[in-house]
Amino acid sequence: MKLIKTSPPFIKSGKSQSASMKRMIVCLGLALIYAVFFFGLRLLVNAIISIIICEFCELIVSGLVRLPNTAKDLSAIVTALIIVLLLPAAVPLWLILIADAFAVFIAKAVFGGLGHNPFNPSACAIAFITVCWPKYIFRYPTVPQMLPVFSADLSKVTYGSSVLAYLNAGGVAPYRLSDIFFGAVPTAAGTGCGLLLLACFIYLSVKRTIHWRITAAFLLTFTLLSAVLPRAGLWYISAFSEVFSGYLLFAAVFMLTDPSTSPKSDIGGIIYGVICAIAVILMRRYGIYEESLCFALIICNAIAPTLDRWVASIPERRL
Amino acid sequence: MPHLKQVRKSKQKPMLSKPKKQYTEMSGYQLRLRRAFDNQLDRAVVQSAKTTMRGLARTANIKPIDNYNYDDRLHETNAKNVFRNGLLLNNPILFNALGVTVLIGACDTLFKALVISGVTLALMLVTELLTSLFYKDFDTPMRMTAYVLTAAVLLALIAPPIFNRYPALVSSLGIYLPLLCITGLLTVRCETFASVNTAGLAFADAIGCSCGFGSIAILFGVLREFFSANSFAGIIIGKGHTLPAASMAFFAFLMLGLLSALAQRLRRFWFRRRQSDLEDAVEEDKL
Repeated sequence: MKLIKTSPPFIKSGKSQSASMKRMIVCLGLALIYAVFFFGLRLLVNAIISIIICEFCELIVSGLVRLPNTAKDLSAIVTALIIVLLLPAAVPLWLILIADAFAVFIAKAVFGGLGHNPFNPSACAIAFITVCWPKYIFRYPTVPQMLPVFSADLSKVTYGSSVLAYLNAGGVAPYRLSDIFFGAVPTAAGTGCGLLLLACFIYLSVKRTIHWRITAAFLLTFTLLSAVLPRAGLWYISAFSEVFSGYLLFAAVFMLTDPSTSPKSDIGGIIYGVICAIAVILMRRYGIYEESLCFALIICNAIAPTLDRWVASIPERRL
Repeated sequence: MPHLKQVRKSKQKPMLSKPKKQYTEMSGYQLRLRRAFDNQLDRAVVQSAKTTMRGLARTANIKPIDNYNYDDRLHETNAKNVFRNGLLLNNPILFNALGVTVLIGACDTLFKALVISGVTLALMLVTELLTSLFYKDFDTPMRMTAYVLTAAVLLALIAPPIFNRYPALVSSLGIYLPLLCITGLLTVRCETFASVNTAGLAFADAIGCSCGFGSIAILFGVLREFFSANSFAGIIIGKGHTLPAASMAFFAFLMLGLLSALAQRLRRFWFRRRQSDLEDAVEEDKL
């Protein structure tokens, strides 16, 4: 009998992995184009370099462990785009290189590659460089601003405080709510436009690329908790600012629903979303960094397999 | 009517299954039969498990390692082998994760690593020797208490002179210096090795394990200090980018994981080479 060694999923449902990745790339590409509109072509260059680095790292991993080439499964492109969009637009290139290498080598390859990684590679990479170089991560350029495309000299770039920085200081951000909603405030490159991210969520949910229950449970719980426990000013302004600032919407759509790090069952997914929301609320209020969502996400990734096992054991308990 | 009484009893307390006969209730023949059956059953279970594991290994395309019996090699009981195992082949930190807390928490500079290594050597040496000479006859709870008490008393003797000479260094070690008294490195080696071996072997094990742990601790100290502050033994040797995370615990965990994986790979490679050498030698003898 001939044995074929492949990566999961083994039960085919007509949906291919590359098709899902292509849809993700389309959505991330739209977010990238929106960011290019604000910051210029530098962001596009960053994205291309990031993709090249990620694919090159995947090739190295394939060569080292003598497995079939995994660079073709497009997951490296998704990781590269997420990393670029979560970083500020005026970030040095070496930081992108380190983040990409960390995501592929440490967060993914060490655990056995795509489908075996217990933690989201992009979240791990962002958490790593947040710990190492926080001054580069939370220094957001004001918008709109055309950044130099190839030059490494970023001394002429003007920076502003993000909405979360104001909230952490106990004040209300002096930005209009419409600006916050459309991402016209200092923030990470691709996480600004709430409208676009909500549209991506609907598209990916309709196409069944992501588990909509996880995102919905996460967003609803987070909105409820941030409204009940406002950080500054009126409750609805505080809740709106928290939901449409930082990595929250972006992570809810693209990172929380990563199939290899989230629960497979529906009930497990809902519980996972609720736990993630509580963890993010706690991290944002008591964490030392301006945006601690990636840390909360990594912690919640660790409980995803336990949730799956727990949900699977419910019928046995009833018997 | 005894029969009816039995029925009533069974109604009062329904029995789901017939209880098995105990060994004491059986006759000689039954007893022999039962024991033979149990032995056969045990063998069958073990054989089945072995077959399953081999089958799984074959399915997953893992090369069988039946020929490489690590345990035999790792338990060759002469002082040289014991020392070599502690230092390299069965390094306590790389293969058994003993003393991880101290390594991760304290060894972020060269001087800290040196102090930790020296104190570990002293504690291991005295405690393992005393265990092999005297404590091996104690009951288990008493024995465990004896290890910790011995280490604590010894640390109370060692720590003040070091503190007087390097107060800032010892203060920066914080809780991790006293933690050496109850670290797994000390208790596990005393319990699993020193308490069942002679004083000479315990001495070799204490030196080997301490050197094995110390070498990794010093390596971690040097690397973490260099990455986090571009310095070596407190002297700045470069002005490049620093990696502040290198002094944090998670970075040390990553380093330990990668180093451990590399060490296991090298150990397997070494065993296989030794195995092929032995096979070659056997074939030459036959010829």
